[in-house]
Amino acid sequence: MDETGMTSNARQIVKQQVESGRDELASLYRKDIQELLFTNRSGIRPRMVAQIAEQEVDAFLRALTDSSESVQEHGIWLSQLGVSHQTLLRLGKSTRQFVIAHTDHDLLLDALSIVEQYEEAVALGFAQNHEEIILAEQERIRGALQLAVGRYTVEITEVKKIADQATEANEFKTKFIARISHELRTPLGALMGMSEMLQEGVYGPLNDLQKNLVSRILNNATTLSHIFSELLDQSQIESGQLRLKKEKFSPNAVVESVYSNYLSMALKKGISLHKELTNRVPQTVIGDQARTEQILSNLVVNAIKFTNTGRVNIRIDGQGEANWVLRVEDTGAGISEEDMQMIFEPFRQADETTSRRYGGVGLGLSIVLLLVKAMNGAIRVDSKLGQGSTFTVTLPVQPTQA
Amino acid sequence: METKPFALVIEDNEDQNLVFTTALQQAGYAVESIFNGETARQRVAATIPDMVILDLHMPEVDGNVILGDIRADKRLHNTRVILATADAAFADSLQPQADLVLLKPISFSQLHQLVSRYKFRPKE
Repeated sequence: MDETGMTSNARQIVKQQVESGRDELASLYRKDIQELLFTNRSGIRPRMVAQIAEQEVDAFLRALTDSSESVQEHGIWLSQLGVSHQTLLRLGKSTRQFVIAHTDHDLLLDALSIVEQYEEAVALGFAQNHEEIILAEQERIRGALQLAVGRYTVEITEVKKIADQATEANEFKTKFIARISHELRTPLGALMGMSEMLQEGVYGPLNDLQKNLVSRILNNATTLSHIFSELLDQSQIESGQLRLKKEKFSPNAVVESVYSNYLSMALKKGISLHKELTNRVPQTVIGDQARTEQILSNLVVNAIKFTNTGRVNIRIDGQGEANWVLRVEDTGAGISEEDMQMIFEPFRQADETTSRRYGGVGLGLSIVLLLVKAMNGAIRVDSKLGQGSTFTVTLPVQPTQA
Repeated sequence: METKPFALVIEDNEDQNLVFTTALQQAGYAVESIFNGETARQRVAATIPDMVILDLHMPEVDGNVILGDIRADKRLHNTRVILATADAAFADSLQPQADLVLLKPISFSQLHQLVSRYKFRPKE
């Protein structure tokens, strides 16, 4: 008998043994599956155990007659059921035990080699399905990732869109205010110019009542003009459109100019305005003279507005080599601690009722803060309710190079 | 009798134009009032004004084009140009070419004083 004959013979004999000892083998298999059912995280339910055991026997029988291809299918099926690899190994062991117990010594080696072939075929199917599972899992993960990345991208796009819209809205606001304030200033300019023409007597002399009314028209128009300027400033500085000049100017000249501009405003209110110049500041500093005057003007106007009796002082001083200081002191209403938090916010006044009493839109200090920040300076307020306020602005002698 | 200095007031807003024109007339100028950019270019090319009051934002032709015309014209090297605008940024960019920049709203008396001072002082 040649080798193939021997194997074929062994195959035949093992087949007969499995057929006659079918229940015994199936019970071995059931035991294997049962034992590992709960120790492995398999998807198998208890009532499937018997069915799997029977199928296992059938598969082995098929292997003993058919080609190994259908056995491979069985491996795939086991894997799809969720049978663990450990269970698979245990089933193989039981098959060998069964064969050893029922096979004569001279055929044993051949018989075991048949079992081994069977096991290999099952394992091959099992692994193949696992590979498919792994590939599918990889695919699923990749898909999920792509979905997540896609969603993330969508979210980023959304956030960007919202940010763009906000920027757009802000740009629109800036353009709108610029446009509106330009459009408002044109007729206002004509109004002011014509009032002045009357006041100057271009069309003949006015009587006292006419003069008085014309000067009221002019005052109101001037107030409007200031409000438009403040609105425009606030929106332009906020939107970063402010271009500060770097020119030489005299700090003392800034004080002189603001003092002479607002002296009559203070005197009309019955309070005094004082200036204290010093040689402790540099003769010239580098910065934006007009904007520095604006800072001081706003502080002085504010002080006059909130002071009913007493005085407003403008002081100037040096501070080290690098800085100089503008200080505006008043004997006015003072600022409470909680109001201190919001006096620099746009459109706010310390006491919301004050806008009616003191006038203005509440942008003066907000603009001061924005300008001081833009100049890399600092501002501090010392005040107590009923004891007046001191605003101190520290500015660099030279703008720091960005 | 002394001949009056000649001025062009280029401003599309009629009311504003009247204010500027009156200020210059009061200061002793002979004034031609112009209300649009196209006419302004023609008049700049045809006359030799001593003074030009120039609005920047106008329909058809903006003031900066007219300013360019004036500065490119050798006949007009003695012409003073005062920019009158509410657009500070635009005015800033044109400042080197202008003799003076006035930001609207412009005071009648201030303009009157300025142009009076310039009247018989030749541009150096």
